[in-house]
Amino acid sequence: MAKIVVDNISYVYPLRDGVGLKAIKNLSLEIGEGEYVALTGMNGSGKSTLAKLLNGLFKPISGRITVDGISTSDENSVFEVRKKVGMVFQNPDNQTVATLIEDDVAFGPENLGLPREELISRVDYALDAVGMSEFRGREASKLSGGQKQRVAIAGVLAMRPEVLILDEATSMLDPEGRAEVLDVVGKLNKQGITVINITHNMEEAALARRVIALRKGRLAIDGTPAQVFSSSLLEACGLSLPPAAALARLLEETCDFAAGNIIDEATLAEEICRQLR
Amino acid sequence: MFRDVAFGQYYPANSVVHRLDPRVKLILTLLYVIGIFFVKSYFGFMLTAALLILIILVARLPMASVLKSVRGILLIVLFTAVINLFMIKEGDVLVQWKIFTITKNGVHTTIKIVLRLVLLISGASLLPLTTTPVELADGLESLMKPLALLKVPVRDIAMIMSIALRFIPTLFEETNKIISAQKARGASLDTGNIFARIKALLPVLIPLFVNSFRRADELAFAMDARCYNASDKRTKLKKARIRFADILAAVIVCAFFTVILLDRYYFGSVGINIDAMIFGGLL
Repeated sequence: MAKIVVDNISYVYPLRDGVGLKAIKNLSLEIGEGEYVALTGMNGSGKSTLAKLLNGLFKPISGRITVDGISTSDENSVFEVRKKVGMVFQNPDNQTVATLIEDDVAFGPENLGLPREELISRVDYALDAVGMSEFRGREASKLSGGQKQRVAIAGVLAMRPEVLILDEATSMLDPEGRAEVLDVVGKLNKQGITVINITHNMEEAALARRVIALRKGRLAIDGTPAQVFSSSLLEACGLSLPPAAALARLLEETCDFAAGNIIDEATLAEEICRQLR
Repeated sequence: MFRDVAFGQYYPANSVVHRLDPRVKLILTLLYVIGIFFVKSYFGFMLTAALLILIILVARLPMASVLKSVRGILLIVLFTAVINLFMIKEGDVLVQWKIFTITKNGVHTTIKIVLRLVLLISGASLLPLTTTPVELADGLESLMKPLALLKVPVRDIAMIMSIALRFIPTLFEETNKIISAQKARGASLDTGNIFARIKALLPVLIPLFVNSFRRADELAFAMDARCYNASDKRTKLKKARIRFADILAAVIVCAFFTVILLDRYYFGSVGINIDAMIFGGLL
């Protein structure tokens, strides 16, 4: 059974005078347990709106979203959904609630009213999982961007979620911070956590096993990275190729290189060596 | 550059006073402040000063940090002193010049008022000097708990306080960025008279406010996503515990308070005048 089922949903941002901005239009998709999905599309395509719909921060105006069969629209069970679906946002400064790192990580479990021993063990586990244990008593404001974002992930992990949504969580980070965060996310996915990474960065999207591209609130492309990057709809979605794929195409045009479905540097290097020999 | 200033008066040191439970410190500070208003004799003031100096020494605070808070009220102290000195007409006249009269009573009252104000402010300043804002907020929350019975949203108030404290460094950083950005556009923030300077701050304050609202919005989403309000009972990672030092501190301050009360209401009525015993005919 699919972990998350999105069934024909629409969402409208209410504007003035009863007019609304249609952000999501008749969207349906399913995400299975343990998947690593990249959700992409240009600004205004509805990616972030979809993310907020997935854990019940927004409620669809029509259609239905269920996580493990629990509806996100039901006021009584919405916290069950939020416990299962954790979300990391773009700006690390705007999602840190407490001054000290350990207090911030404990915020989620504290809200659940867990006993103190459980809080301590969860904070230990979450900080360890993101490699920030040694910083636990420090002030969050004095960390680097990548470290802050890892703390934000720890804050979500402390709730023991089954799905982790990253809403452009690496877009404000330097390359080093981005690598740190993606490394942690990859490890968590291997431990069985479903990952949905919302990103503009095609290199990052190529790391996922499935890429979903939205266009004007509708599903445009859905497939493996290789399928998506060879799709004719790519440009219409406002997306580009990851650098390795772009270089492979260029080689194909300038010499007799057979580019195939190359999307990462390692495969490209191997292929170049093989064809040179 | 604002980063550390932002954390207010807190003077970091590793002392028994710093480690006291914030709730105990809050209550004892309150008791000290109330106590000062019962002090009437010079003996009482000496006792208060002795207690204050004892705390400052144990807390390993430099005298200057305590006196800094007194400097803030210096003008008020001087003003009150002058008014009292010349307005009190009762008692033996010491100096008489044109319309100005200084009496013995006036001198005593003035000295006592100055002592009271200085001891009050420096004593009260020990609390923020030895307690981090976060601890203070936690302490206040814990002390306000009974108010929850009166439907006061204690938990929300505490959350607001701690979030406000948490965003002080973030907003200072942002202010500096905006100032730089406006300077790059040719804004001059530190020239001209006071009015020109206040007016020049507007282009800094407006983006700061707009950004704060945006931040608040995002923070609200992040808090909701982490199940804020999921349960009626929030638990806490950290639990303050009353230790031996807390009890000792309470005993000392309570003893001080008792002696002050005895000095005011009891010693006089049984014919003990400590001031006269110490100072003799000096008064």
